[in-house]
Amino acid sequence: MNVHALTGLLILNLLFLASGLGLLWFLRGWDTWVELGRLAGLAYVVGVVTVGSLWTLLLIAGVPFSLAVVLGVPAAATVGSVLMARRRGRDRPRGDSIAARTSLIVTAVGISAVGVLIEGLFRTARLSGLYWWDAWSFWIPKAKAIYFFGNHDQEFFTTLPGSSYPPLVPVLDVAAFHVMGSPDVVTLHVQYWLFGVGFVWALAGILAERVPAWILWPFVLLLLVAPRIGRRFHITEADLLLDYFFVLAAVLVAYWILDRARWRLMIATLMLSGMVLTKREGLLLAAVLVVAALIASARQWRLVWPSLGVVAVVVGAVAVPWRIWYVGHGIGGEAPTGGGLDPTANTERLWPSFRLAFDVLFSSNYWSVIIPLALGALILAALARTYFLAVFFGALVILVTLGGGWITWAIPELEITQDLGGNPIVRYMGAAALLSCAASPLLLAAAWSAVTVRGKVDPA
Amino acid sequence: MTTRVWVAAAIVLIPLVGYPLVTLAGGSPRFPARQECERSAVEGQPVDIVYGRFDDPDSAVAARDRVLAVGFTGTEALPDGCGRWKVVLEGVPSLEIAREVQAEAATVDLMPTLELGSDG
Repeated sequence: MNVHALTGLLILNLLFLASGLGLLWFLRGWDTWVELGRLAGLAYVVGVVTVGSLWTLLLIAGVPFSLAVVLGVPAAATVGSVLMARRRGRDRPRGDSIAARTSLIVTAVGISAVGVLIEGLFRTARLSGLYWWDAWSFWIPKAKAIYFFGNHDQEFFTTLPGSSYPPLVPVLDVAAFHVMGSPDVVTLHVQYWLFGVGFVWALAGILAERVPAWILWPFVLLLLVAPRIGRRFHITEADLLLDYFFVLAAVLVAYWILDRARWRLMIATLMLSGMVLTKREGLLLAAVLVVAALIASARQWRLVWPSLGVVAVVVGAVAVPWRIWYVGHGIGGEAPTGGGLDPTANTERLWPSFRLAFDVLFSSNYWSVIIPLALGALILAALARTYFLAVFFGALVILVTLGGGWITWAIPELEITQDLGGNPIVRYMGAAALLSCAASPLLLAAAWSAVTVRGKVDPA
Repeated sequence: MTTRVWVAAAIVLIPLVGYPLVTLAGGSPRFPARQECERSAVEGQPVDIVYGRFDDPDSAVAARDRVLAVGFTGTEALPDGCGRWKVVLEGVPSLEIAREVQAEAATVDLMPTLELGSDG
């Protein structure tokens, strides 16, 4: 049974990888095998979010979620992408020698240290029980219901806690159950560990384009040892998966504004679409990401804003079917009563709510030293006059934090507390922390590059 | 490939292969055997009178109903912690009383075993 379950997961995750590799081949092409290896993690996450979103939309449309759908969708996505890539004239990646620079040794040490840490995390993931409240109270029950009934059982789904949450996470769980041959909630933790591994690979791969190895790898290690990030890789909840999509989308949008490679915006759009199908907070995070991009690109608005508008429309369209489903079944909405936009409401909660969000952001108990380091990186980037990245990531972290304060303020039922049972603020703020960890090396690399280039141009 | 590339490959591969090998050299993860949930009764400790173990809850409930039907009140069908279900009267205060119940059960063709109490 164990071998069967692990082999099933291996096949499923190879299908995710193949779908993403095919899609990236179609959208951007592969120049070399080395490049493909560097971006294979991104391809994996692209496969997860694309296939997961398609499964979710099919389920909402009423298509029975069977093993055939689980295997057929990624297989079709892979074949379709490859055919379109060939039609577009994409060449196969060519062989390329690895440049034997000093940074290669630094990269090797980084990969080795990160790899051993990830192997250590596997030991937890392989035999973990289902101990986390949201996991056993509704994420897994939803997945089991879809697995056993093959569809969204209306009565069950409308009575569970978190009934308005979109179903991408349960759908991914069900896919794992099908390939494992049973609803094996222990081995399921390996699937979430794989999501974490894919994210780390993806993030390191895209950051490596602009960040020297000696700046990059310490931050990847920091991410893995942060109490509420790396140590929670195996937990079968939606929070980290949402954060993965959000952070990768943010980095891709920043890169797109810098170099206008359209494939980056397309992949970011897929990530944002996955976010709105993962958790209701996904809508808020997607919105603040677009707003931060609008702010940071204000000087190039003619070139950037129309495309961002298209992204917002596409992501909004992907969000609609699930909202129709739950509204049609009498489930309460995701927004606070009254929309949470009346500034005269709950005024006594205003300051405590926003203070709570900032307290959580700066808590080293949750995020280790990520936030102070990010603040330092932001200041250095501003001093080095690399304004775009500083404004984009600074605005995004502030907007995410203000969003966290808004949630607490606008929903009076939430206690002003960091206790997970009374307020989701700690879960939500993981997005700001993970983003800060991803942005710091980019900001430092940009500052370093600006200073060293200026030093060469003007040694005085 | 240059020496530097070989060194880089070694830096990556040796720890990544070595760590799991060293870990597995200490043995694979150990799981409790089913028999480890069946601990012998001990003098001076509470005793559980177990009427049988079953692979599924329906069989356990049916067996419990048969035991209750012949008068052994308080008997329950419970998970045994090792993947099976047991039909059990928990917390009998002494081994002597448990043996009396066991002898009485034998008169109606029930063959319970005496085990160390769950909180013993």
